[in-house]
Amino acid sequence: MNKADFQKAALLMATYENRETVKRGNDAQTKRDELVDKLSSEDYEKTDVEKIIKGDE
Amino acid sequence: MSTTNPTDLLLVSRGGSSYSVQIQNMSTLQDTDLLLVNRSGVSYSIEAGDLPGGGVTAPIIESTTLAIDDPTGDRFTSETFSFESTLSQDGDPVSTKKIEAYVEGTLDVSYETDSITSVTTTAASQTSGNTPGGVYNNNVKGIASDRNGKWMQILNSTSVSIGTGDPPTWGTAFSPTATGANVANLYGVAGSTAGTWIIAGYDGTTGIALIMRSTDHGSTWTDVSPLSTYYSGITSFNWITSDNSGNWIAVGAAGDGSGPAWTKSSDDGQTWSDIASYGRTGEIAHGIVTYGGAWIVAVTTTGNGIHYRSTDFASTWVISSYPNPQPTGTVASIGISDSGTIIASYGGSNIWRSAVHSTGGAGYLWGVVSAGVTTSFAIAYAGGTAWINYGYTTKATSTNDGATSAGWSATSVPYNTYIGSAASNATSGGVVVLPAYNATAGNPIYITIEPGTVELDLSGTKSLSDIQIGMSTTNGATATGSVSAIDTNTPSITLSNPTGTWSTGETVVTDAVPIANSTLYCVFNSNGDISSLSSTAPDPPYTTTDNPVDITFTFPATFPTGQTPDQELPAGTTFNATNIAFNAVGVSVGSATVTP
Repeated sequence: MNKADFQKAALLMATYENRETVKRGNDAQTKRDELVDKLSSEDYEKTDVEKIIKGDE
Repeated sequence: MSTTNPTDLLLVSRGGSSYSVQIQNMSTLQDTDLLLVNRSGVSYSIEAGDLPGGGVTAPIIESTTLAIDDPTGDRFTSETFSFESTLSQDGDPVSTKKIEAYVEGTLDVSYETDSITSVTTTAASQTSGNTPGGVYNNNVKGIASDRNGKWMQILNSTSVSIGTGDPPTWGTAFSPTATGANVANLYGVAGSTAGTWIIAGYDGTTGIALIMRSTDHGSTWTDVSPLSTYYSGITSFNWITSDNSGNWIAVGAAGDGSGPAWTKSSDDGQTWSDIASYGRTGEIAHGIVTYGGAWIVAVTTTGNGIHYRSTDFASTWVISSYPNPQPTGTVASIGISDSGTIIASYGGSNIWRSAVHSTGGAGYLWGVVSAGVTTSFAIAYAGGTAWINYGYTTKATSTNDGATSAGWSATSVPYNTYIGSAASNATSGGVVVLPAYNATAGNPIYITIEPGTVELDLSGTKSLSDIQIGMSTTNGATATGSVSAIDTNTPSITLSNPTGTWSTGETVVTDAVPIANSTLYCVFNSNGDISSLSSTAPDPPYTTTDNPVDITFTFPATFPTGQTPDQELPAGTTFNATNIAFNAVGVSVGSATVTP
């Protein structure tokens, strides 16, 4: 491979852990948003749900 | 009670002297050595022979293997790898085996420069080689190289001298023999890159053309002469060449004067076809070269030179187009470059030159160039775009592939060349040897032309800092060289041992060199399958006391990044598994690596 391809490959491996962490975080955020929407549709106040999830209460 | 470590120290008393021994070196203890023991605050000593267990041994790993279970399809994605590590000595106490698995991206990387803006081929240097011992006079005839550092020349009419090295050292001349052959008037010699040598003359008893073959650089010979006695008189093949793929053609003059004669072999010179003639009375062949499936024979006809060309391995021959006016005189020498440029000299000041035609191929179109010497005898390719044209009293060099008259530069020479023969060993360094005659000593002497260099000016500095001295370089299949100097200011690189033609607009690509990439450890889930990767080894590690250790590593379909393992791990990434077996006495490590 040429140098550009090597740098691309090296970057892929060097960023693996960070990308995995970010992916897990994004997935968790998506699930959180879905949970907030679900609970909000079940007679819970959205602001109360968000306070609990964020640990404000 | 805590466990011991291999480097823990035992206090030992032997013969009244105290010293310490690491636990991993307990095998050096003698049974009567006293060891200090503390129990419930009371100290006492025991003899080493009374230690429980009757002895202690370190583990020894005998073999460790790692196999790709399915070499087809994906490299890592959903693939399994079988790991087995066997201990010939499990250790006492039984060893614990810590298993580590990781991927590592040591990748082969080629560097590429910006475009070449100009090419300068330096003049080759010149030295004089040794003269072989033995029977000879000034009459050196054919000379050839196998382009792998082996050489051969014909001296007198019946002697051969073997050369080795680059430039060659010539051995004592001797007369080659073969069963059934009466060697007479040898002239032609050629070697192939595969190590086959062919010499030709005629048989002194029968008068029939003689061809002999050797595959041990001239130590032994076999008579492989063509069967035909068709032509009256003596037919001798003075010029021979091979395409280095087992095909050979030898050309000379038919004994009955009916014109150039030829014979060919398609089994690497083991058997030769009946002799055939072009049927052009009075013409004499004076050399043959081949490139890209075209075979080109230089022929002298009445007053002028012409070239025959065949692209069907001598089934049919066609006279090549020739320039107007044609050079006059006897063909003295013909040479061919790595990139198929052919130059033929005709004893005068002009040469014929043919570059590979885009559709016609090698030797299709010819032109005339003034080659800078008054009496041209030997023409030789010297690597890159360098050529040597050796004349009777002068030598001319070309640094532009002989393309223009102005590109030839002449200087005087110390010795005269008499034969139209020169051998180039460009594959192994570009040395050219031209036999000449030392009139003072009355001996043959050898003009050795060392390889020149090619300087490539570049349009920018792209990747130039990554290119190292000694790297081999190429611009594809057409040219190679070894980096001998780098100038980051110009910017430019200089190549030694150049072959082929370097041209502007192309780039220089180095050979691939291994560059270490990241190491990522495999993370296992509760099923023992690989679930992710980590820059640090798993803590706690996966351990077992089994012997042998037998594990199937399974990569997932998708990593937690959302990418497949094959997307995350570039081609060339290795998979490594290691067994670290240890107990209180010692450690043994076995590892194996595969590249899916």
